[in-house]
Amino acid sequence: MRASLKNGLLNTLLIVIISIGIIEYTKIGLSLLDGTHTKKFINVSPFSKGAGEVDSLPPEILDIKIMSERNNLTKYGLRFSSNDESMKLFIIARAIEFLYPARIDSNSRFIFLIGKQQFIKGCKTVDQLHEITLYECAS
Amino acid sequence: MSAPVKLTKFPFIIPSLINIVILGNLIIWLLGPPSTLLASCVILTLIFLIISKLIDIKKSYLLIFFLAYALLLTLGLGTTEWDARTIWLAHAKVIYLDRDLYAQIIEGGYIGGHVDYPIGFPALAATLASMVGTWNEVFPKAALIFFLMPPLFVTFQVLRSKTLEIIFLVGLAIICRSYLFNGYMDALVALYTWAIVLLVMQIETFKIDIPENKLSTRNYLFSITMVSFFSVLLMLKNEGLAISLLLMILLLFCRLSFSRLQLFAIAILPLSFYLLIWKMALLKYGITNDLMSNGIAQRIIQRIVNFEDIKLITTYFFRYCDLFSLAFILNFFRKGVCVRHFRLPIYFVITYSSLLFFIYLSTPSDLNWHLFTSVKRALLPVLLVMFGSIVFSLSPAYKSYVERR
Repeated sequence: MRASLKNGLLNTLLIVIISIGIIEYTKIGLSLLDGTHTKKFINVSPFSKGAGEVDSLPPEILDIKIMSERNNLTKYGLRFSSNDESMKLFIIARAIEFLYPARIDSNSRFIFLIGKQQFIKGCKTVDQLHEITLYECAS
Repeated sequence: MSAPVKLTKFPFIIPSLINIVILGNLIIWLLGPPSTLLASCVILTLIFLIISKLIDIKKSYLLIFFLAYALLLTLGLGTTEWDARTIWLAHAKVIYLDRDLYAQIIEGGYIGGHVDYPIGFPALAATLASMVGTWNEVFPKAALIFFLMPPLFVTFQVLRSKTLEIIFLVGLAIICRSYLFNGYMDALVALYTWAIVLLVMQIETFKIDIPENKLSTRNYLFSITMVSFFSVLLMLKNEGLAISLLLMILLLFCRLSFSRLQLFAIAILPLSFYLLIWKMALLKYGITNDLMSNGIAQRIIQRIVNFEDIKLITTYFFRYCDLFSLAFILNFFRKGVCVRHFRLPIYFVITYSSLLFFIYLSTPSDLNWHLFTSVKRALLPVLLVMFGSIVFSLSPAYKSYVERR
């Protein structure tokens, strides 16, 4: 009687632990899903070229990458029309790793302006996509 | 009285081989970028070893579920986490694109952060990309699965109880959370630390099951296993160096059953590997750790005299450790648990927590920000060693050992 009661309690405890485990692993999955931009699993092969780009990066960075490749840039600079420092930091960090081997260089004559297009003295517009404009500057 | 647990063959050969292939991958990159064929050989060997171990561990459904879930999350989702992108996968991408193991530290190369961090994971992710033949934002992080499995194999091999395996995996999820699969190295550092502590407790527990004439062979194989785990831990993250040095000192201090020669090999071989493969390259290119900036002593003194800073660090530590440290202490009051058998985890928890305390005292960054962004990750090895020790104390192997003493 006592042994069966003990077994019953242990089984109940095990079921509780398994339930906690299922909840915890589900939470891990949901937290990782929450970090992506589209909040869903990728719908292409994980080994295909460009897989996960729209799920992992903000649209501005994807636009910069398209223009960078279209214009064969090896070096580029970044400018922002907004003063949001955390946004600037985020875009710069993502650009450095995602656009590699193209390198960020403040002395580059090619400059991406993120935000509303505006006149930059000594520069001409080379390319534009959505809210990103690529300028070529004299120096 | 439970029956003594007999080991018919040495159970850690495959986890050690996985580690050796991971380390061999670094040497391959050092000799030159691997071709698609060579990269495929490395990855397929790792896959073969994992599958063969899953077959070897009878009824390994739990590990198969864990592996399947890890594959789903690493291959099914893009990579968004900050450190995973900016540090680990960025370094891997640079190695893959530049076809150079040291691309991240060469002048004019990658200008992102933390280029002094070791390259164990980035090099394997680069090998995976070399096999696939392209780079994208999904599959490279799946390389972490090859690092997840060896410590789990060791743990499951020692626990030998379905209930305890379930408890361990649940605890692992609660402690490490998304760091298990998101491309960070912190959960891997914690798992490798735990595996080393467990291996040491294991050799202490099982030595009485082994005939004297086979003890030296068994200890020899244990030494190779320890060397492989220490070497991978050193190549994972800078914390791995601190933890390895600490554990090596504690191994000497605890006077465990290793011979002097074995202890010497366990310490010297992994450190030599780390120095030759990574540290010398850092020295050559003049790369230093950002925490080691000037004024370290001054910062520590300033913060030691400031009670608010000490209170802040202590508060953060207790916020993440309270329940586990309480359970860890209370477990020693349980009948049949001897504190002496857990010397290594106890000393490790105390010394590594103290070391972290001093690292936070010396940080050049804003203390509150540094604690907020990193303490929950930095404490993972401490938490996992405490939790793992509790689970180990419940294992049939430990119970039978205590009964026979």
